[in-house]
Amino acid sequence: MPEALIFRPIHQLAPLLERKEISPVELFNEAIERIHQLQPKLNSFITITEEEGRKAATEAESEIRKGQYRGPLHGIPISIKDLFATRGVRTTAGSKVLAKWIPDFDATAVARLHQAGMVLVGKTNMHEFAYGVTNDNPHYGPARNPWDPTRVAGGSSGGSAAAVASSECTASLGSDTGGSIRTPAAVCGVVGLKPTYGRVSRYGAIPLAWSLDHVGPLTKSVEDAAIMLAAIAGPDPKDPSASLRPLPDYRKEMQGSISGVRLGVPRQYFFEHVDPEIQKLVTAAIRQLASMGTTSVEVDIPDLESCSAMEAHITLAEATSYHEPYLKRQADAYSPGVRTNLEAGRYLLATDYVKSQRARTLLQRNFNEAFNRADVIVSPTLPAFSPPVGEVWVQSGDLRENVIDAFLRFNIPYDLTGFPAISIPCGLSSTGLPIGLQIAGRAFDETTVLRVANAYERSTEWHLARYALPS
Amino acid sequence: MPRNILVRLLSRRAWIQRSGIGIAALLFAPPLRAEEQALDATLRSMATVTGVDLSDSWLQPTAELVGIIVSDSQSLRALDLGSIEPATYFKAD
Repeated sequence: MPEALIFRPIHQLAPLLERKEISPVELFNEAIERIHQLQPKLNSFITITEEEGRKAATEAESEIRKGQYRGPLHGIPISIKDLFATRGVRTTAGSKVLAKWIPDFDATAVARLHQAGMVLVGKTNMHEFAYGVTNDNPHYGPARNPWDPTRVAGGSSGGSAAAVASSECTASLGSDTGGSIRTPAAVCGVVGLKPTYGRVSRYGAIPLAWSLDHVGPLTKSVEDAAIMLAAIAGPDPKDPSASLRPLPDYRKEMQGSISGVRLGVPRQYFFEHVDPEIQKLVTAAIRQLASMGTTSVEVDIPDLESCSAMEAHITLAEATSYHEPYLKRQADAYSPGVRTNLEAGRYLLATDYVKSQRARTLLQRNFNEAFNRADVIVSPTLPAFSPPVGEVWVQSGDLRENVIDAFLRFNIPYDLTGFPAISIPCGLSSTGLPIGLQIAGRAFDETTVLRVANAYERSTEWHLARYALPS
Repeated sequence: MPRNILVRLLSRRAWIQRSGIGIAALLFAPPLRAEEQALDATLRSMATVTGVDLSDSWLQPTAELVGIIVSDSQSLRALDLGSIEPATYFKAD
């Protein structure tokens, strides 16, 4: 029996759609069937947009039949994190506060995906207001990990990662303030790309922390991440931080050899307190890249121990500032964990906030020193595996630590610097849990990050590994 | 900070971040250390500054979290940033 279409990545489906060998409606039906089958097990979605999706799929089919093919996302079933405003579709941000909000506009990234011809299948589950790393959501239930549904899908874009990993959709749109794309991508065994700050407009994404929020894709392959990035990236007058830099042709420029690329390996910080199995498989991935002609150089990046405090001061201050009006009106609608964070944001020093913002420039300089010697920096995405739902402790090698501290640790340096970083699957643990390899690059050099990630992916089969759910 | 105190603080953070169970646990937690009580009092006294009078049930978990972040901020406060200005995208036009 041939494999269902919905298991395939965008770059395989797109030519079939363009040549009219498959239909967007057929693809949509497979996605919806799968969502209905898996929603009780994984809870990937907060809202399923069956009616809107069917209409979009029918329109896409009609357009393609008439020869009006828009490009590689035309007719592709895509989900959107429920953080992004979607015109006419409820947008909760995983909260009770916005449980009934139906926006009359689309977030810029969503509008661009619509222009590219996506078929929206639903709004995905997320940590309440993106303020957490597990996606253990008290209002809509936890998003569960397809590899082991007793475990969390990671957060805050957990529903997006679970939906892509379990083929309830082909790709998803997420956001990353402290690893919220890369963490769930790593624990669910999919690709998660956090582009450079300013590369993708944040307009219409409910903010967690304006100066740290990034928008990016979660996909089944690196090439798919490039396709999604090309669709959503670019200047936007509605977002004052959006860059005017011209866009490269990511998909074209990411192809080719990585011979001669210098891999920076930061043994300090990024390889400390890491589960031995993760350490082993990430080291094996670096060896694999070396076998393809890259060279490894050890790099030392100072001041990383301050990242946690920087992230805390900036996130708490900015989040509390945004939520203050809601807190005044409906404080009881927040979960205790998120409300505590928001209350605490009132009591931190403005001088610590400003110092954190200043320290980001120092951190950028430190990373740029390393990027004088290396083209990309590689590390584990996470030091520990996804914990069971409700568990707040994880074992990171020799360190038992809070899951928040563990999951933020290797991610936040790239939210603070704004530099691009991707998580790609690089193996499975002895108990069958996915492991993520993080590859980071210079500001606006997504192309090199994608090129190294793509070369690795094509030389291994980890991205083809499957969970035990029904296929 | 001694390791055992750090672990205790992180343990409380875990409770706080989890759910209402965590809040309940905090309410029945052992008596606060002197510095935690001082932080509670400090937060309470800031009501005129913040414009918010935190109820008792929120005061303690909030004070706990503020205490953790302040403890964790020593390396940040020690950084010598020279003449570095904060990055900003604010534009006057």
